[in-house]
Amino acid sequence: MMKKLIRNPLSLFGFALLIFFIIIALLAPVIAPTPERHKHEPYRIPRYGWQTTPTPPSKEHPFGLTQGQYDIFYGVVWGTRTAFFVGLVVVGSSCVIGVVVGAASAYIGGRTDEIIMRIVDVFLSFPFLIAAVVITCVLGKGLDKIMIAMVCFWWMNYARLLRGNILQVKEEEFVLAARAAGVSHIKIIIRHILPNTIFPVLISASMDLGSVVVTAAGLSFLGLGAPEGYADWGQMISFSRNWLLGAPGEPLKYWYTVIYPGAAIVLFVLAWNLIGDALRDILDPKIQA
Amino acid sequence: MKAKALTAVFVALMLVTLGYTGFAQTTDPNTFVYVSFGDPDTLDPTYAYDTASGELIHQLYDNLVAYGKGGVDTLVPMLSTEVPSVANGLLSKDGKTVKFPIRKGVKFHNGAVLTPEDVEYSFERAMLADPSGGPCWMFFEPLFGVQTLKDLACKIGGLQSIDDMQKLDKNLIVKIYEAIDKSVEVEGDYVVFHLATPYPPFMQILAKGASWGSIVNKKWMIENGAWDGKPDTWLKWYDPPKESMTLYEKAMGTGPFKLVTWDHSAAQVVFERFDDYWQGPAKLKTAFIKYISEFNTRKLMLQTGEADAIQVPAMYLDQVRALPGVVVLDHLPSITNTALLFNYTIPIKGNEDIVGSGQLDGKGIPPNFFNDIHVRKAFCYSFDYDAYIEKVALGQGSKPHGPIPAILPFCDTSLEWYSLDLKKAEEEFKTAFGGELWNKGFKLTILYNTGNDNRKTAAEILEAGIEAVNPKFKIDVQGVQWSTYLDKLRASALPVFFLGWHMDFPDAHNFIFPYMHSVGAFSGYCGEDMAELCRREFDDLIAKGIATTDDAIRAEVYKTLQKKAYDLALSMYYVDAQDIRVHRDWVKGYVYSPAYSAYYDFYEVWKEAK
Amino acid sequence: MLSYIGRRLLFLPLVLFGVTLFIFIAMSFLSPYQLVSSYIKSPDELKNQSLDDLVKKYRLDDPAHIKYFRWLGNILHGNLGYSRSANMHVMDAIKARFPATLELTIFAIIPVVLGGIWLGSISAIHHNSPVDHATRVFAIIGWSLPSFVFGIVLLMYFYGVLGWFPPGRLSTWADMIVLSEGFIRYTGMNTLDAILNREWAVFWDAIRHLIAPTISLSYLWWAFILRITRSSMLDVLNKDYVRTARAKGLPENIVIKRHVRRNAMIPVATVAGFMVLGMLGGLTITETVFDYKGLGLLTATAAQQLDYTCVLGTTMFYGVILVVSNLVVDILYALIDPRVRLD
Repeated sequence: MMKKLIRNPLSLFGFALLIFFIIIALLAPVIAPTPERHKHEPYRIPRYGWQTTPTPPSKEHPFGLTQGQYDIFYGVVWGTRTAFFVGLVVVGSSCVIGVVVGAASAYIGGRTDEIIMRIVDVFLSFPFLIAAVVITCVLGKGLDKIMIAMVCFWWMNYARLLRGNILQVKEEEFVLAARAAGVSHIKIIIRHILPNTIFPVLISASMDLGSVVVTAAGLSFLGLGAPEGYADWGQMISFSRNWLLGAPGEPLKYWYTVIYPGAAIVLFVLAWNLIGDALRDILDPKIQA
Repeated sequence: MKAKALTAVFVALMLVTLGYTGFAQTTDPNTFVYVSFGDPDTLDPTYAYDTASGELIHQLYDNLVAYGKGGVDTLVPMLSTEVPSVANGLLSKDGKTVKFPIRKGVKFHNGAVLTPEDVEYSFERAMLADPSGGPCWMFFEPLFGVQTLKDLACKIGGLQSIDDMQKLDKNLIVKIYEAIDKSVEVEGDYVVFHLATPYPPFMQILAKGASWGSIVNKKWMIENGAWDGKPDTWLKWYDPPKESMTLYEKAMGTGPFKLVTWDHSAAQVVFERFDDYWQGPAKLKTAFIKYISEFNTRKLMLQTGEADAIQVPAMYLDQVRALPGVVVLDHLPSITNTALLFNYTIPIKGNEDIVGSGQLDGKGIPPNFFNDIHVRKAFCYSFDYDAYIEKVALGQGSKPHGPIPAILPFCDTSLEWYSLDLKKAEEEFKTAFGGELWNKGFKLTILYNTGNDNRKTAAEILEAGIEAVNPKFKIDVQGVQWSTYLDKLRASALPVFFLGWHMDFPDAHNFIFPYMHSVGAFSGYCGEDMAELCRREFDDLIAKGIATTDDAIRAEVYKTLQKKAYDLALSMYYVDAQDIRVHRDWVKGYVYSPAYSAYYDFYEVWKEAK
Repeated sequence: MLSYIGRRLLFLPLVLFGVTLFIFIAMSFLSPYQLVSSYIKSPDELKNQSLDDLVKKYRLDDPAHIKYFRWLGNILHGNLGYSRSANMHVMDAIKARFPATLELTIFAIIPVVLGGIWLGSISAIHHNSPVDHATRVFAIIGWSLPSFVFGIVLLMYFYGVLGWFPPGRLSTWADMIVLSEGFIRYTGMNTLDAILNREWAVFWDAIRHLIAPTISLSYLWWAFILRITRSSMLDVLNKDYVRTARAKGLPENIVIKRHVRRNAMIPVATVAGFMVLGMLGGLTITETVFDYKGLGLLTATAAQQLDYTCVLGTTMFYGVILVVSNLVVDILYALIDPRVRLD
């Protein structure tokens, strides 16, 4: 399996990127140490002044300072931890919920399937962004509230996907054969159906890890996400929005407010996408290398 | 392949579109486009209380008097042919009767001629409608000495309170009408106001810039479903929902522009020149006010000339300053200030997330934390005012002298406000609570409403100052949504909060009252102990200051009040705001008027043909 | 078939009920003074209003179920209520904003679906070739890029530097034509209405304003469809029945047309189905960046200002669209895959 991973240059690159991000996340306190006075709030980006306009990179602040003089380097480094946290929790939870619901619904079929799918419809009929906005209105803003909102409205994707695949497989020969042989339902699901249908879900999940981070950035853009000054890439980009057009004659004057957090997001998602592809190639037994 | 063909078509479409509609445009000298942000509430002068609505009403209606060009001190006649004064006999010596001679030959947009009855109707209708949260209290205060129609009804009917105005007794209904009717009467060519007490800023309340003083056409209003002027029917139009009001989306005024449409879905308002305007037709033929909240979009529109003027927040000023063909006017003194107010009686129960332990034990704050003058003074000494003005407001602001903005008369500019002085802060903290505070420390949570970076930074500046004085002083800065902030504010649950006051009319009283009167708008959120303090120290002075037209007495009163605010460190005023105007260089004739909420007066400005 | 459709449509009111119930339950956690913030929208508007009077006037302190029944009652009279955030009746707001979103969606779908499916198929068929790799990288970048960054960069270059594609739906001069007496609004979609009114200049102006948001929107979804198509095609390409067909000696393009494409389209159909929905709702960001006044922007603004009347109206509307489009997708399933039985 590892051989297959390494053989493909793209997936190797993705894997390397991921390792790179993991190292940064683990070594955050070493790479970007938290100032003494905020030791208990490591995710609060330190400010070096009050000026509203960003400051270009310098020796003390290699990535520069954003609007309000927040240190971009610190934000990008600690933001890695936030990205992993948000991605893993949201995708993990939605996956579990989605798989359980989707499998049950498809396998049981009939009335139950319809009812469950109607409930899924109810959730799906909320455009996701709107649902997130409604939830944050009630619960308040913040990273944890967005995560709840995202899980609530993400699991349906997996449920639907899995259900669609299972509906197909349900009628395939080997399943019918197992049923005829008297194998129990749970065993059929776990041993026969899931292995043949779960891959799109897993691949989708690994791709989603990146897109969850992008979605969270979108929610920050709408002002719903992490508060100003929190080490979160999305929040940093929502700041940079105001400086994207630079100054007259110098359209790229504030490039560092966009490029550094932007590059972090793009590379993070890239890593997961490439890995998703690689997993696809490895886990599907019917594909030849 | 099908897709290839489609792509080819797409590319061809693009090229044709570009070629056809051309690149950068030249600008049309007859059309003015101003791009702002936000949302107007309504076009009805009786309901509108926000600046966005005021800006629209400004172009469509006239008032009895107006301000001299660019000033706040002098008034000039408008729909009235003279500005009432004791000298010309139109203002009675006791200050309680004001007569306005109404101009003849002024036309409304539909051709009808202005009569004194229109003026009388405009004010009577406003007072009898008195929408909740609206501006009509400014008529009630001088004319009756109360704040709302409900108060007046209670007074006339001898009632303690009224639950449901719709259930009023028939006789009382007529009596209320009669009281209102008597306060503003037509006498030949004059309209006469009868005030309850002399009220020095009375004419500022009616002047142009005060959208609620706009004059409407009685006949047209009645024809379009408004109150018919009868004594017993007005209740039907009392406190109406905003969208049901006659002038919500329509306009019938004597102003230099007519309303073409308020296009809600495109978020823009379109005006057209009124050719029969009594002062002569405007130079501009059409005007647009568009509302776009993304600054980047506004900036780009200014650059390409699609917008003639845009609203620019201070922090982006540098991005537009050096643009070719763009004029920037900044450091314009605006009649607005912002303060951090202290809550003198903080509720503890249910409020633990903000007050912590609720005791003087270093893990929270006690309910009377800000009741101690030394704590208040210490806070005022711990804030870096200069840093805020230079770095956060980017220079677009000035240090306050107290609750009254410096540009207004009766602000004593010789009185300095507090400055950053950590040594003095330390002294004050050491004296507070008999010395206990210094040893035990405290933990305070400051909330700001999210989306307002300036207030967040102000909180953090304060935090930095205070935590530098004593590490046992901990401040936590947190953001909450405006809805949550409002909820807590209303419950007086916030120990400190940021609020700003934008003028209703340019007079010291308009600022003193909300900040220093026991029933002022802001004092209400500052706890019972503050209200008690106001009653003891300020209420009588404030009443004295507003009840006389003698400038010398007023100057003395407001000087005293300002000094008291300083001595008691009542609240922490920290910035007098300054305004910015940004427009293309082909916009001519612009004069900054601090008294007007409208950024651009479309009658005044015109465009040079290019 | 008809009875199936009938039964599915019967669920529509149930779905709508569930959706609106959810919103009301969410809103019921808010205190009346939090709700009153939709009448005093920012601290600058806070003067000396009596918050209590406002709460009483708009009956914000009524219990949630009373509010719900009152709202239901109004619905049955065809009155969706008044939106404070949009300053018009909810029905009017939806009527005005929906065509804009629909227009943008239609213009975006064409390149997305056609381009995505076409490129995805090629990518899968020529698995691991340079074309495959190039397409994948391109798609991955699209999928990784935050949409508003892409949108603003587009605006910056194509509008700021070149002056070609301005924000908004129409230029000022085109607006004046549309607002004038002679112009009749048939659909609310600028392009269609311009054609029907034979105002060709307005038509081109509308197109000009659609190009940038369309590119911004479709690039991201195009990447998505491409991956799903490729994934799904790869799956199918390796299935036994395809190998059998090849072994039988069928020419490759017939194998692809008859066996692979059809089966690969199934997950794509699901995805396309809720892509349309995602577009309709998730357009919020694109609409914000380009100041394109559509439904997404309307709903997001309403929710942020706690204008629950408007949020209820628009989500109900979305609910209807969703149920209908899901139904269409399921029927498509049945048409494409004969093994799926609609029972």
